[in-house]
Amino acid sequence: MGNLLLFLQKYNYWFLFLLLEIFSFVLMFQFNSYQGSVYFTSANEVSGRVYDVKSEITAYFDLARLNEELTQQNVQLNLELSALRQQLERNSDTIVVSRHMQPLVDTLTTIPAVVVNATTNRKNNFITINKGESDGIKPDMGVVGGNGLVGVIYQTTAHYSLVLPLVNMMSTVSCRIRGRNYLGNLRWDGEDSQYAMLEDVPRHAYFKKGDLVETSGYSTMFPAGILAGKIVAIYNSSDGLSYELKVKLATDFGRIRDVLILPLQAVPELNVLEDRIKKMEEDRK
Amino acid sequence: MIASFLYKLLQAALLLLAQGLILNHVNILGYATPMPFIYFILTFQRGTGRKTLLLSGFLMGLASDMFANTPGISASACTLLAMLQPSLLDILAPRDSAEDLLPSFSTMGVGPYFRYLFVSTLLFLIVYYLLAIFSLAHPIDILINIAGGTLFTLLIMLGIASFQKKKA
Repeated sequence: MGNLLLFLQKYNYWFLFLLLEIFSFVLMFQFNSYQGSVYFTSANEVSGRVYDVKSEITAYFDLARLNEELTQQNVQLNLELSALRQQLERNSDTIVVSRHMQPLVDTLTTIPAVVVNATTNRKNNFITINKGESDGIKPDMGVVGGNGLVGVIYQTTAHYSLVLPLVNMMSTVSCRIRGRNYLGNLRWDGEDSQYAMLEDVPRHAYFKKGDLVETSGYSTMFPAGILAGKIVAIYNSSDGLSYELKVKLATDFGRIRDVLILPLQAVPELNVLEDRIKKMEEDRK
Repeated sequence: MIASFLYKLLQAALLLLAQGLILNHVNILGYATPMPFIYFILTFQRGTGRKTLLLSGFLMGLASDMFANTPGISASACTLLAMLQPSLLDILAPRDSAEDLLPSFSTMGVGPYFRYLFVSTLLFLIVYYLLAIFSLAHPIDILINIAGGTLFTLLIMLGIASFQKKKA
């Protein structure tokens, strides 16, 4: 007995080792399901603050490029505006603005935020932004940038949030091809942060390279029509039943800075229905 | 005692900041991310209490996880490295080295110290990437990640070590 106690005393660091490893593994596997794990990410107060300070300093280095980008966007928007205005004048007697075409953006109150940290070099990248629960941000809200779609709010703390960007292998966003309305799921393959794949596009769909990909609006996160990217290559899916489109993403995740958070769209019925379908599928299994 | 504690604390803070603010965003040729923050664990004096070593390693890993959004991955790999550090020192340090050896070029000699850093880094990165990717679906990718990471981590650690040598 004495020997056993002596043995335990001498090697009790093994227990500490096991304890710490078990704790690490729990953290690793619970990250997706357990809310509390957000405090072990860059959205916690300490690392969030560190990144905040850093982004405030580095922001100045990027101003020239941002200015240039804004000017370009302005010019392009002005051109589009004048083209649309001409069209409207031509068709002013026949045009009927349908319920679906009413500008959704009018009804949205967006929350601006600044990216304080972002990675692009991992399989599961995350973006940290400097707004959190106290600013009204909740998980599953959509995040957009100046050029287009960015991602979805993943987890939140009081003053920071973790965004699940398109360039994370866990991310899926329902998208469609602009002007053609064929749907697909936008996923990332973990390789190049400039490209993602639009999967499950039906075989009979008609489209071409250079077509734009935008959000479908079939979710509570994004209204329809937010630009995600442009089709650059077309492949067959591995089972041959659908197309897979390589999409050049509109957002440059390596240089992202200012983003807007969209409030959740008011379609509770959609979620209720989806939950019911999910439940039915589970019951069938 | 207090001086060495403060030194370790400062070293940890500097390594963490360098890792979180700069090195996590480095991705040489699309693969190699240097992780010299493990230098903190490798430069513990021989004879440091096992529990102190384990807890320090774990906390360092956890802190680095917070900056990299990889909860548990570095913490787990760092705890393992902290567990193995005394044995690695025993195996790789010269036989006649001091009981309270503080690993460095000057105390261990250039060859043994280099081997010690190399083996430890390689071990750490193997564990880290196996946990991070958690599949063997792309073995070549993992190998390139490990090799590239080891190379650049080693380069940075050698840089720090030779800087300290000059100062001493």
